[in-house]
Amino acid sequence: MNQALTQTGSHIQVLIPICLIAASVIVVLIGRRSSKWRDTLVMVAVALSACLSVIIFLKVFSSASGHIEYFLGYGWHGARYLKTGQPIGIVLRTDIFGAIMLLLITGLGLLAAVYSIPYVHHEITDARHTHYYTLFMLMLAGMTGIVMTGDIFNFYVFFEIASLSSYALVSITGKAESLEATFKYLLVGALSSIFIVFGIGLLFNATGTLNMQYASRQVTRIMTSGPDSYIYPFRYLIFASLALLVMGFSIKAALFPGHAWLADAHPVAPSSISALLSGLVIKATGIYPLVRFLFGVFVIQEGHYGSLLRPLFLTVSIVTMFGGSFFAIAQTKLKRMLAFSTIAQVGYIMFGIALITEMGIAASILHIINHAIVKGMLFLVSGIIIYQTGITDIADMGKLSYKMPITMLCFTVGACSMVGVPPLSGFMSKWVLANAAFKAGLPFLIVFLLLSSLLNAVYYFRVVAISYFGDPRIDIKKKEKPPAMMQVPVMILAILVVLIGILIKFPYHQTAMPAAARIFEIHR
Amino acid sequence: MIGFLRILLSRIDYVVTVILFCIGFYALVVKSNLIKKIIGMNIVETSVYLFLIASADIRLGAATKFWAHPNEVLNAAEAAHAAAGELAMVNPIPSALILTAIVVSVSVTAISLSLAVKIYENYGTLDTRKIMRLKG
Repeated sequence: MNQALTQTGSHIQVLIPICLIAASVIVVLIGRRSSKWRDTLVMVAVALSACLSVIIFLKVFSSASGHIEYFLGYGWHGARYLKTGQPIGIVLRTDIFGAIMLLLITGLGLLAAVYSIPYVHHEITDARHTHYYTLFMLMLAGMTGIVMTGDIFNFYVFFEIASLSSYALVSITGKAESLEATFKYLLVGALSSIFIVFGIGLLFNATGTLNMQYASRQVTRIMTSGPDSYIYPFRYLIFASLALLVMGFSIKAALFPGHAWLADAHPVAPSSISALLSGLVIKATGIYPLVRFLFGVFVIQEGHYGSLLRPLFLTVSIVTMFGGSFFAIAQTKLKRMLAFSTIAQVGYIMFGIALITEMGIAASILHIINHAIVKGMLFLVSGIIIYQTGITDIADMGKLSYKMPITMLCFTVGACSMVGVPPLSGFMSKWVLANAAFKAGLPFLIVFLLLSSLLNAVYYFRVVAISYFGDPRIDIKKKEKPPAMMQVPVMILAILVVLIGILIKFPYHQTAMPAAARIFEIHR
Repeated sequence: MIGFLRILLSRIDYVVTVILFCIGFYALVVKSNLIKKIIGMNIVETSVYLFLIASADIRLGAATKFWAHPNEVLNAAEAAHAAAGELAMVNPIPSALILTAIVVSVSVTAISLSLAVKIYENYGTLDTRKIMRLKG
């Protein structure tokens, strides 16, 4: 083991995607023989990656620089990079934000995998179970790669792994409506990835590098050069690249002009996949790279170009917030309502990013954590409801809470958190967002946050009210008990929601704040 | 005007990619047939790839070598340039990137075509307007 290697990183970083990808291939081979061994292998692989990501998280936190680096095929280029700062090969670079996302992805992925084992028998035909697990792990592998990499093209490859497997997963039930929704998702997704590859190409032409950290240094050099310098015209390439990348990622994150696909694609997927799509995929392929590129590569800061982008992003975020909420109120199906609610919540996350302040980013990160857990839980709950009773309409849920008390209690906790009832995690992240808007000198924007929370309350409390006090419209036939493997992940997530709200010091002050600080420091 | 035309002609490859992009984007957005949409998507992708490859090209540029060796055998064009003191090298990285992107676009096309087949089996049509009506 080389001296420099032990200082900068460890093989664990690269092991996480490798372990998931390898397992996804082996699953295909085993799946035909024995479904029991296949399920075991999936569990072991996902649990292993979750353990490894905990180690990464601790390593990142204990490192003095706030990030760890690993040079793929360590050798001459790693040594050269450390000496001259000019990278050639691929580098994995995980900072605190990446580590948080990694922990969320593998953690929620593990719970969803546990949940899947009884649930897939309900939604998917037997022949497709193996495909389901393969794609499931490929999607997780892609997302873990996205949040760990420090190389722009390596990012693109992982981005496509995650996107392609999510297209296939949405249509895995093979129902007619899911095919149509997937086609829409796929065309929009393909368009966004064209924008992204175009943006990456222009960025490479302007900076001559694909390493994010080095590219950010070059961008700063170009942006600060005088008009008579030969690198001055390159700034137009950088503007074009910025516009293309923002467009591409905001489609993937379901921000306002490109949001329409989400409401079709997320509800038709099996519930365990909806939970991952809403909780993780839009963040790992949309929000996370947006933050990474805006602040880590293009070095947008307060004032200067930041003051041009801020009104644009704020408008987009507020329109997304309200648009999602208004459409959610009109929905009759539970899962479709949850999908529109996801659009509204992405608006909140974008709101924090749009402020372009450290506190705004920290609030966004907190809301990412919060939304991943809560929306994951709500979709899993809707899956349990479908599994036990087959209900998909909100109006049919009358008195359901008396038939399945624990499940609906979890739903109520999640709904309260989404609306922002004080001790829960949703209140904390909205509070911090409002604080950030206040600190950024835009206190009137808090009105929008409050109004939007009111709209959230309208559609979430309607479901809760119907399930407790509504008249039963249909005769609910229910299977006796939900399997523990479905109930326990939901309960774990519900407990997490409460814990994050109460122990806010760890997720916000000790995790999100330093993560936001590091994002602004990447070019140093 | 003449100057503008000259600039356009000197960057004819970029002009072609812009035209291709517009054709593809038109097909992707306006056409209601799913297969035509997929073709449009492919044309857009191709135009972007062409643009990036064209941006890396240098007229009469040499293949890239990481280390220029003094005893390296040059071909005629390279030798002429080397004699003039300007051995330009083509940037290899965009080509490598586009190779990866092509693989991705092939997979996307494969998935979308298989979806189109499945949609045809379910709805009996590939027209998006009819599918919307059938869906209700």
